[in-house]
Amino acid sequence: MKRSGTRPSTLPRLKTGIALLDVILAGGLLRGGSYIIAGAPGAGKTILGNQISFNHVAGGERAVYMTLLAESHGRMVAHLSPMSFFDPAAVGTKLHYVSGYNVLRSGKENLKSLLTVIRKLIKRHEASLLVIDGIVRVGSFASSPVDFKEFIHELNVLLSFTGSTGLLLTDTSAEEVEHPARTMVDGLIELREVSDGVRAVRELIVVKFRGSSSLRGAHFFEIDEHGLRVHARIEARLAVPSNIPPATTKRLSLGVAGLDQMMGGGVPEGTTTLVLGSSGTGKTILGLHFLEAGFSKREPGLYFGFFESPPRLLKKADQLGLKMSQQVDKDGLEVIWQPTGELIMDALAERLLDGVHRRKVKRVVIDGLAGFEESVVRPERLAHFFKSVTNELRGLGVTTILTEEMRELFGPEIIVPLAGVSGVAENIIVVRQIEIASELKRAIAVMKTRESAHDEKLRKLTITDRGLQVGEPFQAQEAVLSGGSICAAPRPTALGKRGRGHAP
Amino acid sequence: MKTILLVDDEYAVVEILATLLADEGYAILTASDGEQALEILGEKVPDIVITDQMMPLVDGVELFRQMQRNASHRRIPVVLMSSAPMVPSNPKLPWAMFLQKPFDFHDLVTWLSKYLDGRTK
Repeated sequence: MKRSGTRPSTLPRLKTGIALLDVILAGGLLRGGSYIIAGAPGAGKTILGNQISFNHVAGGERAVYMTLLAESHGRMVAHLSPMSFFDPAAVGTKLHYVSGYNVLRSGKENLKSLLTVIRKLIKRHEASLLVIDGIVRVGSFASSPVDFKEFIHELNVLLSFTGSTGLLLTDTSAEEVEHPARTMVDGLIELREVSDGVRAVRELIVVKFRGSSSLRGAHFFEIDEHGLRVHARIEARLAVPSNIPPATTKRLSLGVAGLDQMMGGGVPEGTTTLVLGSSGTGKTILGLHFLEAGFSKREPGLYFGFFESPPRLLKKADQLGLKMSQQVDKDGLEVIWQPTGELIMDALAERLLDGVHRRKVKRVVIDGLAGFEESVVRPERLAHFFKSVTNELRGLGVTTILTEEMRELFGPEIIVPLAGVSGVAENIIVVRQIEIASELKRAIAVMKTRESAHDEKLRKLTITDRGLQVGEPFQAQEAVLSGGSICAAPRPTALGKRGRGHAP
Repeated sequence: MKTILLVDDEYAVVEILATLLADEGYAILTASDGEQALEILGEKVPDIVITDQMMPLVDGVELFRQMQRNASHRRIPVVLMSSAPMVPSNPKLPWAMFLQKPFDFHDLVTWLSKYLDGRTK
C-alpha cells in the first residue's frame, strides 16, 4: 500500500529540479504563479534562482533572468560556471540574462514600461520561467506604494495568462520584511542562516504556498558545487511511512546461535533492535554477525557507521571469519561510512534510505547513534527523527540493528544516552562489562522483545576468534547488568536484611 | 577621433565602459538596447559598435542582423559582448570580435586601437 505525505494539487507544476525541494513543494511550483524567494545577502537566493533556471531549460523549456541593480551578468555567470548545473550552451540560447534597471530609471510610467518589457521578453523567448532578481528595486522606483502594488498585481495577472512562472528574489533586510509584495504573491520561500554555537546552518522555509500543500517548517540546505542541496526535514517528509508491509511472524537470525535462542528464535522480521552497551563489549561485532547471517539467505545488508573506516571494518570482520569483503564484492553488503563532522542529520537519513532503496536492502546495522547525535542542531528533534526513520525502515521490510554506546563503563544505572530512542525499538539487548573477582567479564541480556517471550537470564558473552559466543547464565550473583556483581546471599529472614558481598 | 556606439542594458556597464573609453580618446554614443541603437544609427554612423548580446527589446544578434540589411550600416564592424561563454551560432554573423564578460578593459583597448588603425590604412 502506498501513501503520500502531502496531497497533490491538480494544477500543472514547474519542477525546480532540486529533488527534495520538489518534495517539500508537493511536486514543484504551480505554473503561472508568482513566488518570492527571500533571504539576507549571501543566503543563496541568486544561486537558487539560477539553479532552477538551468534545471528548467535543461528540460527543454526557456527562461528569462532579469536583474534590477543586482550583480552584473558577466560576474554572475562567471561565479556560476563551476557549478554542476551550469550549462554554457544554454546561456543566450535558452536562458536569457537581461537587465531591467534602465527601464526603471526611465522616469514617468517606468513600472508600466517594465511590465511591457517583461511581456515582450516572455513572448519573444517563449519563456515559461521568469526570474526577477532584486524585485524590491521596483518598489524604490514606484511613485507610491499603490503603484508598486499595482505592478505586482499586473505581473501576477500577466504570469497567470502566459503560464509563465515568476520567481521574485529579494533581500530580507529589516525594512523589506513587511514588503507589500509578500502578501500579493502566490508563495513565499525564505532562506536563512541560523547559528548553533559556533556552527552555522542554512534553513529553507516555505512560509506560504497558495493552492498546494507543502512540508511546513524549517528544512536544512547546503550550498556546494552542485548548488543548493535541500534536505527535507525527515519527520515532515516521512510523517507517514511510504509503505505498510504485511504482518509476518518470521524471525531473522542474529548470527549468534546463543543469542537467537535467548530471543526465542531470532529477531522478528521488520523490527528494530537496540543494542546498548559500553565501549568494547562487542556491539559492532554483533552487527556484523547479523549482516553475515543474511548472506546465505540472499538478504542484502547495509552497514551504516561513523567511526570505523570500511577497510578497517572489513578487515575486522574477515579476521573473525565473517567474509564481509567477499560480500561487498558480490553486492551482498554495502558499507556506508560517514566520518563525523558538521553533518546534517536529515542528509544522513537520506544516505541511509537511498542505500536501502538502491539495493533493496533487508538488513541494516546503524552502528553508533552518537553519529546522529553529533550532527543534530535541534536536539528536541532526535526522538521524532528516529521514530520516522525506523518507521520507514519497517515500512520497507527492513530489519534493523541500532547500536548505542552507554557512556558509563560501570555503575548502578543503565541510561539510554539518547532520549526517546528506546521507545522506537521493539527489542533491546544490553551488553556490559562487569567485574567479577577482579576480572572483567562481558554480560548480555535481552531486556525486551516484541510480542514474545525471551530468555530473562543474564548470560556470559565472550569474543573469540570466531566472533561472539553466548555462554551460561551468571549464577548466584546480583546486579551483574549494572556493572558491579554481587553474590546473592541467602534469602533474608523476617527480621534480617539482605546480605551483600563481593563475588568470590 | 573615432566614434564607438556602446550598447548594453546593464546601466553600470554602459556608464563605466563609456567613461573608460572616453579617457582613451574615443567619442562615445550609448544605447540601452538594440532598438535605441538603431535609432542612433539612423542619425550617426560610428566607426564601430560594441553591443551586449542579451537585452530586453532588440538584442545584440537582432541589432547586427538589422544592420546587415541596411546598406549604410552593413560595413560598420560589430563587437559582441556577452555573459554567455560562446558566440551564438545561429545565425552565424561576421562579428569583428567576441568578448566574454567579465573581460579585461586593457585587452579591449589594445584590440580596438589596432583594429581601427588597420581599417583606416
